[in-house]
Amino acid sequence: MPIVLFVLLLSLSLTASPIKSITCLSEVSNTLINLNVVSPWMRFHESPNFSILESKVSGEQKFSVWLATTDIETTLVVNKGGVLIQHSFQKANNCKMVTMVSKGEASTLFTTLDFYRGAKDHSKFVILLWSSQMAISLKQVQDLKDKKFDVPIVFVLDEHASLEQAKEFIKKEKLPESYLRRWNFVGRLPASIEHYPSALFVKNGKIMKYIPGYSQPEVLENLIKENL
Amino acid sequence: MKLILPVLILSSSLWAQSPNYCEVKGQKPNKVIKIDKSPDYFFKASADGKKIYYISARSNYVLDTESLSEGNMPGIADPVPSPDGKLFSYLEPGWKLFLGVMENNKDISSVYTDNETRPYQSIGQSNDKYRLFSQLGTENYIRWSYSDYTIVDGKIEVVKRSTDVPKSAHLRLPMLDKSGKYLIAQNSNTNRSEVISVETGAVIDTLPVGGGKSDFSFDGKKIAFHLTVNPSYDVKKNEEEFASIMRQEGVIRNIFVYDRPSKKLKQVTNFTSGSAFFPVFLKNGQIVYLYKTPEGSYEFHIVNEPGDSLRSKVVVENCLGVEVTDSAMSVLINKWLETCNNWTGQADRTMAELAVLNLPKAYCLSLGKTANVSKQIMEKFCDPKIKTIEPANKTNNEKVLSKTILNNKCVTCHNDIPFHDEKKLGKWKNKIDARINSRDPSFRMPRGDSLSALEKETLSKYIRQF
Repeated sequence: MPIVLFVLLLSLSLTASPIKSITCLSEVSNTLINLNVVSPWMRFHESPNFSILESKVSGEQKFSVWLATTDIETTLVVNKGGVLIQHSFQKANNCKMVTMVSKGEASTLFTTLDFYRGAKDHSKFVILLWSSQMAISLKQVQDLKDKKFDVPIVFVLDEHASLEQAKEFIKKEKLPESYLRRWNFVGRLPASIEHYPSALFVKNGKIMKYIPGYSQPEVLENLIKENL
Repeated sequence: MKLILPVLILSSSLWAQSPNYCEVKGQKPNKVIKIDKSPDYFFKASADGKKIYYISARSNYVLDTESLSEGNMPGIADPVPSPDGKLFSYLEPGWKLFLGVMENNKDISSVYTDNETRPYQSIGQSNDKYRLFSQLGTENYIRWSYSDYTIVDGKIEVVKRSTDVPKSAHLRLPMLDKSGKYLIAQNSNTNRSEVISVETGAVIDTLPVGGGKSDFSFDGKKIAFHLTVNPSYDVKKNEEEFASIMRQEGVIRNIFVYDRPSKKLKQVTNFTSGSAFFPVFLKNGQIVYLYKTPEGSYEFHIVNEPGDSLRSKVVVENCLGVEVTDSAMSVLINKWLETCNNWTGQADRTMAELAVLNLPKAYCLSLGKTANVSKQIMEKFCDPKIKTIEPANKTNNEKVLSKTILNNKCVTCHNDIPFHDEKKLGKWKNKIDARINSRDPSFRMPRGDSLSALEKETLSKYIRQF
């Protein structure tokens, strides 16, 4: 009985927040209870296609929780001592929880939440996935260096790539360390996402197009016009 | 640990012995070759599998799979042998494409180059003529071309220089078949792989998935690639194993083979940790792939293609009809996900569909019974002999083809059109008919693509009946 009451209160707390609706609310609420998230949400951002909530957990277990929700899925990102745990709940998967645990520090990763944070700051942007272990993607990074585009290009490293080789490459090419953030995304993506380089064209928090393979800068410019 | 415990507790109520139909077994490799270096995600093998050509830290290497000795190969990337092992292509700094005559699968002589920047090369062969395909890297649009070569007295001679491949603008990650007549590439509009004719650009075959950079078998009938569908995972796990799942970072890749004549998609590996990448066919039908272990080291695995009797969704549709198949498949997938992965949620719908299509007959029937699908339907759905049944009649065959075209080429860009609702589709028939027959690429459907004359005729006939 106390648990039922707790779920009810938590659900009310979520629905009473400025978020209009949270996809898979019941499953998300149950997970939050298990994570002992009881304090109110601290900050939020709401746009037509997605919403972000951030919270701090009170009590002994001090860890941060973020929540991003769209009409197709909700993702919870938990940061405890630098270890990130992402729980994804997709309508298409009957709201079943898919969990991904990352060993890296939060600042070294590009998570689902980073994706929505990027979308909050930029209505349009391109994610360029690269890998230090795919020669053609190194050419892609080199060819796009110092090139200006109408929208921001966010470079994200293959989660499986050798970090040592990647560090060596960005040092040689004098590129910023942000290029080393590793792909750590649990949302809905094409099954063949792992080809490098690949470009994801993002508009208003939605991936409009996934295009794998090397693109000359002029080709990428045309693709941006075509897809964004 | 404190964080993991609540999730464990949450999951414990769902912890139970899983039914036998949940187990999807991958092929065990016949040979595992551990390597010290961090290889790039591109490698090729000699036809007999005795040599593997790979890249590491901007250098090409050759690995002898029997003696495990290694040697250097010329170039900084993309070492590609011809099917007979007599020609070898590679890239030098500046992404210049070079060709060399190869002996003993490793010794390069008589080097040739036209000094062009040409990534994405692959080599096909017809008798003594070698066809080298590549993407031109200096244009402001994606241009593909091929050149034909021969070897005369140990020297490379050009037979036909830089002929463009007519193609859709949306094709990516090209790879030539062993004959040099066909390419496989991924259509970024549909996220499906297509086999196209090198000389005409016509789409010959559309795969049910997008496999990215793929490899043809030597007879051209099979295509191998990797996908990031999440693996099936049996529930019979202890706490230690559960913890190992929690430690995984990100997605897992596994190897698949598409059998073109039977239209079957077969799962080759079912790793639940680590990742299997970029498979390559050997002449004897075996497959080599790169495996990254959960600890981060790399191995080449040589594996047999699975020989189990599996069913093809297209063939099941020919027997049961598209609607009945879709309906039954949806129910079976839901039941499979519900009973097999309740606590981890590891498998996704793509994986679940593959699992259902690959179940042995007894397990398939058992799943159907659990999911309350009629026995009559399940008998036809599960019977492996269904692969020998010819389509019921021409009309049914045309309907299946039409449905396949709509699903493969139209749904992605035109999700406002009710393709799956035949009653509503009637209102759209004139618009669809006009679009598929239009010559205007900005208006034509499929967008960024085209249909063959036969496909247009079949689809028009199908649409007009509503």
